Amino acid sequence: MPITLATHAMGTRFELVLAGDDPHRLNAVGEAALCEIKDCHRRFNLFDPGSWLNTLNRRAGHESVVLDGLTFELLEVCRRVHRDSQGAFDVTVAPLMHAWGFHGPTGPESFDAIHEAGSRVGMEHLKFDGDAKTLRFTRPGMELDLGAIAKGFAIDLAIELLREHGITCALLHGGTSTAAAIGSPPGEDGWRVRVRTGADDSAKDQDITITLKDAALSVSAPPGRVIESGGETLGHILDPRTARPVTRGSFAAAVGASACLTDAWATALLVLGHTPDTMPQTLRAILPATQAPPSYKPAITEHALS
Amino acid sequence: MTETDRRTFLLQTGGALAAMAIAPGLAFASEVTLQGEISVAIIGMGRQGRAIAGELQKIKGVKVAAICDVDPGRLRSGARRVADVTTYETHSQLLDQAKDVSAVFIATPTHTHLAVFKDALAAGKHVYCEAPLASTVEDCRAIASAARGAPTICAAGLLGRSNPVYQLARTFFRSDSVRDLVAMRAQSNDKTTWRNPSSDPAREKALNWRLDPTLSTGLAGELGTHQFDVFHYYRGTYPTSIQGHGSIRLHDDGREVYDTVAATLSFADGSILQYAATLGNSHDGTHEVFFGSNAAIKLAWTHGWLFKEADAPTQGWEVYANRQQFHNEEGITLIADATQLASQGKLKSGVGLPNPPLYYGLGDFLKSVTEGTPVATSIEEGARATIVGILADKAIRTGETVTVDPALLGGA
Repeated sequence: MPITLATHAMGTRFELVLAGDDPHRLNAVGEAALCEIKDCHRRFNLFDPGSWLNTLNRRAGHESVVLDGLTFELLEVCRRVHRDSQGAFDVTVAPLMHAWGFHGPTGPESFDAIHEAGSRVGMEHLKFDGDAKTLRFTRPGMELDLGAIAKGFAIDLAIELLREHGITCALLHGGTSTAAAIGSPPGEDGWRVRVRTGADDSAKDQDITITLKDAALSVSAPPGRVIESGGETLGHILDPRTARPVTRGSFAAAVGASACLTDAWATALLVLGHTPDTMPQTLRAILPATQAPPSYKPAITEHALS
Repeated sequence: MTETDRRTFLLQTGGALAAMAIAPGLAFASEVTLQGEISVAIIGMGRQGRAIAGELQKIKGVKVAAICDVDPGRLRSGARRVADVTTYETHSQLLDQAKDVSAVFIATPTHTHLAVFKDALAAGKHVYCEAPLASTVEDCRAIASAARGAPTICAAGLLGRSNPVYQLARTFFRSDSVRDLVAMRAQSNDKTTWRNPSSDPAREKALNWRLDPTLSTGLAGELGTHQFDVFHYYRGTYPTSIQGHGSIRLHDDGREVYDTVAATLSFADGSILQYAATLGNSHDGTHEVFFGSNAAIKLAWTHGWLFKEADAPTQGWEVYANRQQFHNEEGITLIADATQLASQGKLKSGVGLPNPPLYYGLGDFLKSVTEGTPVATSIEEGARATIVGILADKAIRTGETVTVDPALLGGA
């Protein structure tokens, strides 16, 4: 009999489905897995002034900050995806997110302010010492925003814990944008996850069903947090190379073994609008054949347990 | 005078002065700063040990040089969360070999605290011991006795006394804002199993000591102790008798430790504290309330509010106070350093603590060690709160009225 647990973290709802023989044990293991997610939320939440991420952001402009193992692992992945996506994925994008008004109620700032914020963006301006495991910003006013990857990283940690505790059948998703599966439901070849690709239920025939077994899936799309600018509705994904919100793509998805990687690459693919040769071979990209309307909100909408 | 002018006038004169008078000497609650550096160790890397590591990481000048846990999985997990740390399997190894460490944080199971505490003192370390301090009254007294004779700094991990919101609210409580105390209430609601899984079935029982009736102090001891100390801190007095009840309402998995409890703690002046806790529902979380004839103060660890009665006098500072609506009542948020925030025009942007209460508790201990500031929560007070928690658990388990012998607390 499967059990379901859920928690609120990272501004969304995480849901975990577990199957096994002992529901009491499943509950305890599931809770521990969700604790990993809450722990990541406390560490990497840009909107919590008391988070480790904000401490790091405050200090790294003045000194080399020694990183713990988890933060180091996460930033290593960020660096690889940044390199392989030719800068389309960039966790230093926070100053631009502020300037465009995605982090507050005030709306976009002036062109000059956005331009100035852009000068503080770019992972090439991070001084990352892999031996000493330290980080320093080489430009004043830089800031990390891990919003495009922390959810996947948290899901990976939770999945790792579930596996360590012998779980062989589970599905975990965060905010219906990243999901990861262990094994498959009894009698199935994997967890069937439907990705809605139309604006609403009337376009169900455009949906994509992906079967996940020991794999992760992430989807990314410009809508979500939106702002109005110059008569345009702009989504919250920024192209760090142009300092402007992405408008060209309607959605992008990535499938792979690691939720951290699929989460980051879903954003990178949306920014790029195509699959680069440098994307790891272990990942599969899913991009739309045609441009979808602006109201479109792709999401993982359901999963099935037989 | 326009409304804006009036506010500005009050802010710059009477209002600001009133707030300063009410909250004297409160430091800005954003960041703990230490003079110099200190090398520390964490003993026990379960959830609390990891939480301690996470908060210490944010305090500049603190180096977590060593950690230990008898569970290999927890030790691995802990090491991943601390930069450049040496790991040990036992606290004895750590205390023997980590010579550069001057202070230790004890976050092992409650019933093991006494042995670790004594060993840490014998090794000449400053000691922060998580609360409850022990699972028996005898162990509490032994810990208090050991701390009394120690040349090093000892502190209990009860967080109300070092919490800036609680310190501020206490000045309101003591300045007649509440007036005559009529009742007190505390609750701790959290939907959780309280069960720890283990990848090694042989370790499962040891990890689930909180569900072992021979070791656990139940919800009243493990959770209530922290809240009971808040009432002791505010009032300087302790309960004289306790009645209680409990049952298993949700987690019927073979456990004997109740998942839902209620207790009534009576004080010598006739006042009563109603305590309730459950592991079956999360509504309204953990909080304490002081009900007075003029106002009620509600404290929720990262936030605090003052709910005024209609006939309570208006004070100058209220004009710029931040308010939150709760159903049909309005609560004035109690913000540490309200005067400074108001002068910066930031009063409405911050209504709670910027950091978890644990951060301030750890910070206070480290300041005591490095700068000689007074200990916020002494082992003596920690022992008193723990004993009240243990006796509340006893009342809940037996269903009998338990008398709190003042000599027991006085000698703690």
